[in-house]
Parts: sequence; structure tokens; C-alpha cells
Amino acid sequence: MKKATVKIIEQSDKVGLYSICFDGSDLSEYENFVKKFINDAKLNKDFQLVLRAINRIVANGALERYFRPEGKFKDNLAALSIDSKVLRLYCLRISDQILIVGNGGAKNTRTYEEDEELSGYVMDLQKFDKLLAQEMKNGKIRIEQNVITGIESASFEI
Amino acid sequence: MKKDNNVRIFSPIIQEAYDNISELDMATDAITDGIANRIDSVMKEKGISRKELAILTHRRPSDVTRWLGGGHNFTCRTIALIEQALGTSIIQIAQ
Repeated sequence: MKKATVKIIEQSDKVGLYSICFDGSDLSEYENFVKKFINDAKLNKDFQLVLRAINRIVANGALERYFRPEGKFKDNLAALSIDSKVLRLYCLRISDQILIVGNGGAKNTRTYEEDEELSGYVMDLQKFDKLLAQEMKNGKIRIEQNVITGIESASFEI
Repeated sequence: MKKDNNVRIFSPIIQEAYDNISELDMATDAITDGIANRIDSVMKEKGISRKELAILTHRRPSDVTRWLGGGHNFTCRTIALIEQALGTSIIQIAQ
């Protein structure tokens, strides 16, 4: 079990972008992803595609067409739909106006399940998805359009 | 890359990453996302699913997902293929 909080990353009229921040780390999972690839010459083109996809989401909302479902039928897990065969960034698409951006990496196996690092990121998001749903159900956290209220003071055991 | 005034970025590293996106990439994305948005609208209007469009265009469903993602660099041939499959125009040429 790891203790985590949630950090706001970016806010526009259309969407609120959040990311999970594990205890002991100054950076959120999405920021860790960016830090990992920002100076990676080999994957720079793919990394730019990810950033540009996030930028489209900030401009237009977390529309369904920007994602491809990756998880189970009932969860919110999705990967960005980009023209990269290599790089993956996993997210929880809560609504058109709320996106939880997770971590990701280079996918060198057929499925993410075969990659220990990627499946770890996916599992973290899936666990967080369930915890968030519980907190929303008991009224501690509310989603109001592009803002999650009550999230700043909440902590999660993932 | 210049950001809209209504956008607030709370992370220095994310800001730094955005600064590396060129204006040309942004302009390209505006076009490709516009095309994707138009395809998505026509599909919804006509009740055509991703799987059905894949069948109509003889492409894989994953190709349709990439088209709709907004960053796909369409060839004119692909646009023509989609226009034929959907039975309507996707882009118009300025006169």
C-alpha cells in the first residue's frame, strides 16, 4: 500500500487535469512521465505526440474520441489515442471535463499486462479509480463540472 | 507554444514541455483535429460505430480509433476513402 494525494496539473474552461502524487515524491505521476521523456532523444517524436494530445484535451475537453479504452468494461481506464506504436500514457477519463493523468512508458510487449512497469501504472490507476468512486459515493469528494471539490485534502491508500 | 489565456498550468515541468511544441505542430493539430471532429460528428449523426466505419473502409478498428484521436496526419486518399464510406464530404477546398 502506498499513500497518495491528488494534484491539479492544468485547468481550462473545458477540463480539469489531475494526477496522483505518491508520498515521498514531489512530482505527480504525470510529471514523472514528462520528466522521464522530456530529454529522451530516441522517443522525442512520440513524446511530442503525447503532449500535443494532452494539449488538444485541454483545449476541447476529455472527449471520448481522444482515448481508447484499455481496462475493464466498468472502469474509466483509457490510453491516449495517438499515432505512436511505442509510447503509452494511461489515464482515468472520469468525464468530458475531468481527467486523471497517470504514468506511462514505452510499450515493447504486445499488451501492457506483459510489461511489469506499465501494468503497475495501470493497476495504480485502477485502484485509485475504485477509491475515488467510493469517496464520491460517501460525499467526501464531488465533481462539479471541471473541478473535483474536496480532493486537495483527501489522501488515498493505493 | 502560446497557450490560451483561460488555461492555467500549475506545473513547471509541464510548462517546460509545452514550450518545446512548435507553432507549426499546433497549426497541424488544429487541422487534423478539425478533420477528426468532423468524422466523429458525421458518424454520430448517421449512427455509424467505429467498427462499422472500419468495415466500410476495409481498415482495422484501431485505424479508426487513431483517425478520431485528432493527431493523425491524414493523407488525401484516406480522407477520400472516409468520405466515400460516410457518403458525405469531410473537408471543403477554399474557392
